[in-house]
Amino acid sequence: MELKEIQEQFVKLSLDKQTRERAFQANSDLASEFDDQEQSLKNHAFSLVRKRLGAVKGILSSTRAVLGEYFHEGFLKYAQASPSPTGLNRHRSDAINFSDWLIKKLSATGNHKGIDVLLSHELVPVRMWMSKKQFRLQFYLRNPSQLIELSRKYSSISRARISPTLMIWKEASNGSLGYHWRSFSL
Amino acid sequence: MNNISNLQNLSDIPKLGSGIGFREPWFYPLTSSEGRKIDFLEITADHFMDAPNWKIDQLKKLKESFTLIPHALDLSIGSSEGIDEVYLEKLAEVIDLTCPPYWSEHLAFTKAAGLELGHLAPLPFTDEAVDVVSSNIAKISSVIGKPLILENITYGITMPGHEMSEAEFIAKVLGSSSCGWLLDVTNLYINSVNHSFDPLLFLQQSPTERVVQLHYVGFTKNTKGYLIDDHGSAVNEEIWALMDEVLKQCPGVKGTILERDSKLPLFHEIIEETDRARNLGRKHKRWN
Repeated sequence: MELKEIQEQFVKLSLDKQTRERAFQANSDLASEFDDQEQSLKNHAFSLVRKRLGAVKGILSSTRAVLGEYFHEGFLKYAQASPSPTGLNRHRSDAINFSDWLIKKLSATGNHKGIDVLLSHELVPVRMWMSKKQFRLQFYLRNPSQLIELSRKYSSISRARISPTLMIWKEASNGSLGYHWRSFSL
Repeated sequence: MNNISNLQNLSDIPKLGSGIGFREPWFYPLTSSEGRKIDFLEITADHFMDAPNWKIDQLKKLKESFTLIPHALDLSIGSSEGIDEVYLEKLAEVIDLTCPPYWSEHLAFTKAAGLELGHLAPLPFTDEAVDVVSSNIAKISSVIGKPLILENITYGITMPGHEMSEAEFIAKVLGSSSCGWLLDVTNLYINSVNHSFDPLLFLQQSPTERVVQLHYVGFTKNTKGYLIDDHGSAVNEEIWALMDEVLKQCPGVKGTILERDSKLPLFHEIIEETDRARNLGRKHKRWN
C-alpha cells in the first residue's frame, strides 16, 4: 500500500470511532494494513481525546475545580460527538465549544448558575487572544472573583450571592504577561 | 549537497550547552539572575504564531538574554500530501524573529486526507517515505534558509510496510535532506523498552555524527509496564545513563534541552537537572 493510503487510513481510524468499529468487523478490509493493531489503535484514539482534555483542563481550570469528575466525564462525551477543531487555535476553540456544550447540558437541569459566569470569565483571555483585542468589558450578575475564591476552597459556587459586576480586561504591556482584569461591583 | 558539505553545515553551529524548553511560568526566573544558570532556550514555535503583542514582546525579551531555538510541531514533514504552506509562512516569521543557528521539527506526520491528528504519528521506514520527507524538506528550505534538525518520536503503533530498520531510515532521511538530528534520548529509551530493542545497538547503527542537539526528560510507567512520554517527571536514572552514552558516541552535540511540559517543578529543580546535563557534556568534551 502506498504511503498516502497508509496515512489516510491511519488518520481516519484514529479520529473516527465508527470508522474504527466498521474496520475491525469480520470481512472488512477497511483496516487491512492495521489488522493486528486494533487495541493499539483504540489506545491511540483514546490518547488523542485525553490530550484534548488536558489542554482544555488547563484553560478552564477553575471550572474543572468546581465540577470535578463531571468535567472529565462531560468532556469525554463531548469529544466523542465533536471532532477536534483544527489549526493553531485548536485547543482554544475546543475550550469554547466544550463550554457551550457544558452550559447547554447544565441548563437543562437548572445547574448552570455560576458555572456560566465562571466559564465566560475563564474564556475572556482565550477570546482576546484569538481576536487580538487589547481591551474588553464584561458584565456579570455574579462576581467571577468570588466564584474563583469559592472554587479554590472547594465550596459550592451556588453560595455566591447576586452581585452585579463589571470586569475590565486589558492586554498586558511594558514587560508584563497575558491579560489583566479589574472588577467593579455595581 | 554532498555528505561532506552537509556535515560542514552542521559543524558550523555554535556550541550552546545545557538549556530548557521555555514554559511560561518560568519567564520571570529566566529573565532574572537565576536565568544565567540556563545556557539557551528552545521555544515552541506554534505558541508564537498569530500571537498577540504581549506574547511577541515576551519572545523579544527572551531573545535579549538567550539563543532561542524554534521547535515546530505541525509542519507534518512526513505527510504524503505535502506541507501546509500557511503554517510554513507563519513558522518562517517566528524563525526570522528569533534568528536561530538552527531550528527543529519531527520526523513524523500530523495530517492526512485533509484531517489533522493533533499529535505526531510515525512513518513507515520505507524508501517512499524517505523521498516524501526529502521532497517536503526541499520545499521548506526554499522558504527557511536555516539548518533544520529532525527529532525521533515515540510510537505506539507500528506503521505497516517497513523496508528497513529505524536507524537506517533516519540515516537515509538525514543524508538525503541535509538535515541534522535532534536525538530525543527519552523517546529512544521509551521505544527501546516498549518495542524490546537495545538502544545501544540502535546507536551503533545510527548516523551519530549528525546529532546536533538532545532532548531529555523523565517518563512514567503505566500499570502494564508500558512507558509513557508524558514529559511530566524528573529525569530517571535510566535516561541519565543513556544520555551519558549518547554524549560519548555523538561528537557533534552542541546542546541539550530539558523538555519538561507538565507538572512543572520549582525552577531550582530544573537548574539541578540542567547542571547535571551540562556536567555530562563537559565530561565528554562537548562544551566547556
